[in-house]
Amino acid sequence: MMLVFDIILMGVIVWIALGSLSPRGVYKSVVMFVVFGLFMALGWVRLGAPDVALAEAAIGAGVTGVILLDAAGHLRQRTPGPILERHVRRGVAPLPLLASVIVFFVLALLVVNLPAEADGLAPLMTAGAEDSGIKNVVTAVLLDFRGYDTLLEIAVLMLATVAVFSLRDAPDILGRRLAGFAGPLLDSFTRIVTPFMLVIAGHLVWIGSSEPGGAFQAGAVLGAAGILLALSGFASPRWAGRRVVRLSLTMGLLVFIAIALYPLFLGGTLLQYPDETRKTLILAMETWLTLSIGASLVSLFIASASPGPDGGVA
Amino acid sequence: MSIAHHLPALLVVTPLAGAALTFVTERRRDPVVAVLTGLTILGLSIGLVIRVLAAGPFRYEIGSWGAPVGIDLVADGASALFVLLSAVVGLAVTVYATDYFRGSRASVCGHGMFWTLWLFMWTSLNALFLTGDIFNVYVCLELVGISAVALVTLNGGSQALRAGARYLFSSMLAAMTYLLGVAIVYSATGSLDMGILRSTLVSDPAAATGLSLMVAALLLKTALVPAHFWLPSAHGSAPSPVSAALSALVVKGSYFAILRLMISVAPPGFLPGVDIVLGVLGATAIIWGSLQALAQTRIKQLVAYSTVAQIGYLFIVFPLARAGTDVFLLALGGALFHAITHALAKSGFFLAAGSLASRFGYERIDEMAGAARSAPVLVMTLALAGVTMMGLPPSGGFAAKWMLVSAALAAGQWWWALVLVTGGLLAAAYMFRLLGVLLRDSPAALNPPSGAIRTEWVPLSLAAGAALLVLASPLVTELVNTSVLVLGQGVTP
Amino acid sequence: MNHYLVYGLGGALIFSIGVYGMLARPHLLHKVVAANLMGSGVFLILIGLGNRVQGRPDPVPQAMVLTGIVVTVALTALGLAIVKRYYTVTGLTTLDDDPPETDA
Repeated sequence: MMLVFDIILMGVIVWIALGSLSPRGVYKSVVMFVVFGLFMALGWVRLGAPDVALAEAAIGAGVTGVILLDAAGHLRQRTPGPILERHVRRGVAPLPLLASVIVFFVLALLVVNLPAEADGLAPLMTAGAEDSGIKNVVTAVLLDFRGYDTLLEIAVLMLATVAVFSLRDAPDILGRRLAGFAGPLLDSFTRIVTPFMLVIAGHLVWIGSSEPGGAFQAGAVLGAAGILLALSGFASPRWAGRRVVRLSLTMGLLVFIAIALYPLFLGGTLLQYPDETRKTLILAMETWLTLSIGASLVSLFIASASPGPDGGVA
Repeated sequence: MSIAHHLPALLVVTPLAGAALTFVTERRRDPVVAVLTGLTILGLSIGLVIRVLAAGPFRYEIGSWGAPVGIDLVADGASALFVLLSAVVGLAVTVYATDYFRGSRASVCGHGMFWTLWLFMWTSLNALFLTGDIFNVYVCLELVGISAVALVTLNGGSQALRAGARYLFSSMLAAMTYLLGVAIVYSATGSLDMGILRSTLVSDPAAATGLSLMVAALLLKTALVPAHFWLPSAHGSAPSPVSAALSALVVKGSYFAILRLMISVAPPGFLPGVDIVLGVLGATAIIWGSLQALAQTRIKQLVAYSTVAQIGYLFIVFPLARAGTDVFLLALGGALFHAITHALAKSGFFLAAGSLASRFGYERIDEMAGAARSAPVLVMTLALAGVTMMGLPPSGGFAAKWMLVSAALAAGQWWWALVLVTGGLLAAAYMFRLLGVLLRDSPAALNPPSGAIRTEWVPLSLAAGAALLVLASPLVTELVNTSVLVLGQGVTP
Repeated sequence: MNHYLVYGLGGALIFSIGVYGMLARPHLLHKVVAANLMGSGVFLILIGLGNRVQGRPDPVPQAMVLTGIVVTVALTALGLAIVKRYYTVTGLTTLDDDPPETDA
């Protein structure tokens, strides 16, 4: 029974994916892509991955969607006439189609022929998580066993934010553009919803060690709240120049580095949390990470936000 | 545990902390922070080399979990070599950049972020050279890619943005393909650690396909012909210190990952034919890249195509890897030696070319006639770098070519030797063409030099280092022998 | 057909669709969407195949995918920032046409 549901869900996802590449206008593509993300979140739930579902919905569909929509709006010139014509006439580009068909067949063969009952590292990880007292095994893997990956991943997020900052054309267009942008509906919605989002973010961090949740999901909710505030005109001008913003972006990484180096003084290796303080350290780290992740996601939106019709920019 | 044991971790954390600090401190303090960070990294790298030479390769278990639960860093001769190379070139680029980004350029919005972006790139390179986990390689590759793209677009003009966009989309394609390979390998084997994969891989089409996908993706990142299309515009439109780092270090990063995968992870005969394909593509790169370089009219484009050609040399090692231990050692030594000498020479070249371009105000070679009279130090740098790139004796470049040619002949695969020699001749052709213009006897209009010491002597030291590196070849050989690539087994701490 | 195969094959299909989009669609926004599709395809394969043992999903692929989602949004944000700046400077939305020579 559930198998039928899975097949139908996957079919819908594939159909929406095809729609998101439609050559008839980028707005349609972007909206389809956001819907794609939401259905993917459903898929993750079916696959027993609630943490991933939360992240996909908030980051994959939410933040990515917002940035894509903003970009689509900025590129007022739609797909150029002659090029659109070229593709509509020919229908489908033959070589790329051949390439993707070959890729699909190879992958499908591999997927089908892999052994049907394989555990991977699951038993080791579950046992390890029990020993360390963190019930949410995914959180244990992310912040404990493979914390080094997470450290570099936070670096990636901060790096991308810095990179987007470096592409701004002028430092203080944002104040002019974002003020007075919101209509009454968005304004009231933001006022009501934002406090709840802050509470939810805090809750997600707190329970992340035993239930689905954690720093990334909480950070995504925080980021979404921040983006709402920015859209409603509460963002401050010269966002990227303000010390507070830069500090909140960096604190997560700095705290993570400090906690990573701390065991070296106790005779351990990088990221080897002492057993007694493990849970406290991880929670402290996650709190600061949530702040930085939220700040990064908001900054990624704000710093790449386009000038409005009134704001003039070169 | 002594501090020497922690060196791999410190080598990654130091530039990372530096990057974070430059983002929060005042902009005018950034160069100081960067130079201090660079000096620290240089010290740590030298320490790592000493440690590996004294005590052999070792594994650093992050979190003390140990693979397969945790992620291990692997420090062997090859990693230490590349980490040291990054430190030397990195410090040189940092010092050069303190002058390059001073003054009027600072008003351009993007340039303020250079230091942070650059230190993030440095972090990603060290992390890539030291990691022992194939998923961690993915995260490192993304870190490298994002910082490189951001640095390319720093100048903000249409050429730079276009090159950056092309570079970015190639990076995205490569990253997703690499991740697909990891997904397949993990699903087939249940392991992400390179050492464990080595000991458990058996003939298995799924794992082989996954590994091949990973290598293919890395080929795109290393710009091996025919996946080189993004490189000339990217390296050509970037600010000079960035071009130097890109040519010298960034392409070596993904190359290093290929070395690990093809030689340390894949058991002999696991990926049939792939090594021959890599060799053929490398040979094509040598010839094609050199021919393209010969046809260029702008100096930075010439140098970028020369990089495309030089990358080809690095791939000749693969068909020679299975032809017996002696041949393998010689070929690997030649390839790594070539990587190092090329990095030093190319970075010196790019930095000197950048200084020349900023003096003349434009970049067309023909219009730089007579530069030798007015900027002798810079032209001498170009000449020295050129000597290494051509492989003239007794430079480091010659030593590297000599090792590769000997290995090819010893393995009975003389055709590679033919390609190598032809490549050298073509390199001589484009280098002499360039130097001929510069040494021509006509007066040239020059802007007064700025920060002469840094913009002139730093590149000169790099190029001289490349040429003189032949004196250090015993050290290099020793490091190569202490590498896991040679030992081929997992390493016990 | 097993539960995990649906998602594994679906992931393969979506990855291939993404490949087609990257190669065939000239508009830069489409390329960004296509790259994201490729990523989602890989994630489906990873977690789908991590579900082969009933009732005990493998946490490692889930951690990998979480990392992948964050990395992809970072890459996407940068990509879109470049595309928008490129459009502002040149007025173009594809890489097919050459921009006017505006600078050195």
